[in-house]
Amino acid sequence: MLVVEDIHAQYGKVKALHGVSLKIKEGEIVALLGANGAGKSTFLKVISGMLKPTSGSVTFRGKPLNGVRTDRIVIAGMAHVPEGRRVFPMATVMTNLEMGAFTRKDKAGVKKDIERYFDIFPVLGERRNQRAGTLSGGEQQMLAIARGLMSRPSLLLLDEPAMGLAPILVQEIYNIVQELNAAGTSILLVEQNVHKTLAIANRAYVLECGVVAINGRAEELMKSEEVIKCYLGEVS
Amino acid sequence: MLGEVILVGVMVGAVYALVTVGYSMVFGILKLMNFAHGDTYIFGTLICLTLLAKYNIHPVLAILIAAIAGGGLAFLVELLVYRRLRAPQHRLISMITALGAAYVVQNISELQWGNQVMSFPSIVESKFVTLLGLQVSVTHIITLFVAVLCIAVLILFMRYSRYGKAIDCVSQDMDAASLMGIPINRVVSSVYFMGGVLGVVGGVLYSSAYNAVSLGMGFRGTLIAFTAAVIGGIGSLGGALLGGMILGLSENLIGVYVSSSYRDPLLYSLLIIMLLVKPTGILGNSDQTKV
Repeated sequence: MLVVEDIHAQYGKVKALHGVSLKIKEGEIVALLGANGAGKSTFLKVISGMLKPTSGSVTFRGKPLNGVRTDRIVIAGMAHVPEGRRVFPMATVMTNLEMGAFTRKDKAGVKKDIERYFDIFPVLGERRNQRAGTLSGGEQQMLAIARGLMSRPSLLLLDEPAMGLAPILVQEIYNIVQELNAAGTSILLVEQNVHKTLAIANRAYVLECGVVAINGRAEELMKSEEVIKCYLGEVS
Repeated sequence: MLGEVILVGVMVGAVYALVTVGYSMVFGILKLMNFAHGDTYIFGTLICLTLLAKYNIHPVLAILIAAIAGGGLAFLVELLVYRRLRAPQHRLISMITALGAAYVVQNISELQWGNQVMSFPSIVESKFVTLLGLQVSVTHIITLFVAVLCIAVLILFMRYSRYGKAIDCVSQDMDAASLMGIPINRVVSSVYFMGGVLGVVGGVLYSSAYNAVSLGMGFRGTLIAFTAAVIGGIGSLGGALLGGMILGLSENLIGVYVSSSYRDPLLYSLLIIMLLVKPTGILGNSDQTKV
């Protein structure tokens, strides 16, 4: 579904990625792990067309994405829920969701989907006419995810969806990610929480200073001494 | 007397609001002070003058063509001059570039029309009628009506249409908007176009109400739009209306009851006071003006 090969990227003169490759197969949950500043968000920005890589290629469903604009990539079936939620603070919950469906023409289907996400996230339904900026962090995160799903993507890029959330909400978000995946959406999940992420992912990549340090099947990584030592040490 | 002065003030205010709305929307979306705004709409206004005076075209058609020309010019300025400097780190450079663009547009107009004050034909016959005991000019009433109508259409479009909401979201968070599949370049282009169109309508209404147009009105127009936008709250639609109204009214009241030579100093003092006391403007919120 997604093939990323040898991506190099930089912000101005600061190099952030030094040759990262990654693959996602149809129906997979792939985790992208790593510490702050390892280049995870940069990598997602390259995939969704927000940042131009200096070299390397991205292929999505057999089509090269190099130089393709972000809005075209959304139409091609990819949605990116960015780090820090980035809901439209002055717009209502409803408008935020409508904007998520900007690329769709089927009004009735959009309405139905909005109602569906109000069922999944009842608190969003209660606050549909409230400005998104007035929601709590957890509510904004739910809105950001629902908004990302409104375009009915076949691949969803989630950048730290659990960041700053209460543990009970984190679990809820993870359940939703699994449900979405069961319904057929492939997912690239960026996280710092290694333990929880590996528990739901099929495969995982660990980024370290802009290169892939480790990759493999999630259950193998959970047993790998290197991962346990470096990333899981304090959790278990 | 006071009633008439207020009515003219409201008319001028509505026209200023029309001019300010375009300016403020452009600021809202790119956080760029578009110094070329006034010169762009005066270019369109002068085209309208030529169409009316030289070719005798029906006023409605002339305004329409001129508005499209002005909108097209605004679109071109954005495409050729501002687009590459859109990144936040280029904000100062793009401001200087905007000043350059203003002079280029102004000089193009000067080559064609010269820089003297020209008389602008009345679009409607100037008659006076008595309304609620006030002596009012029909031109002023029509001017007010057209300005209010344009603004109302714009507000409805921004509030209820999908595209209008998308424009609003682009101005709130451009990156997040692009992740929704909103084509940013097209949205920005259309905002510039709309700003140009509304500006030309404002310019034509104003010139026709005062039967005069000159190149100098371009830079003054930019200053008025800037001042009105700052007073009302830059980037906000309601703020542009309020700011335009305050400027139009106070300008007329000062002009009549104090002296017309104090008009501009007092207006720009108002700008300075506003920037010192409440830099976000009356209706602005800090979120919209943050960089």
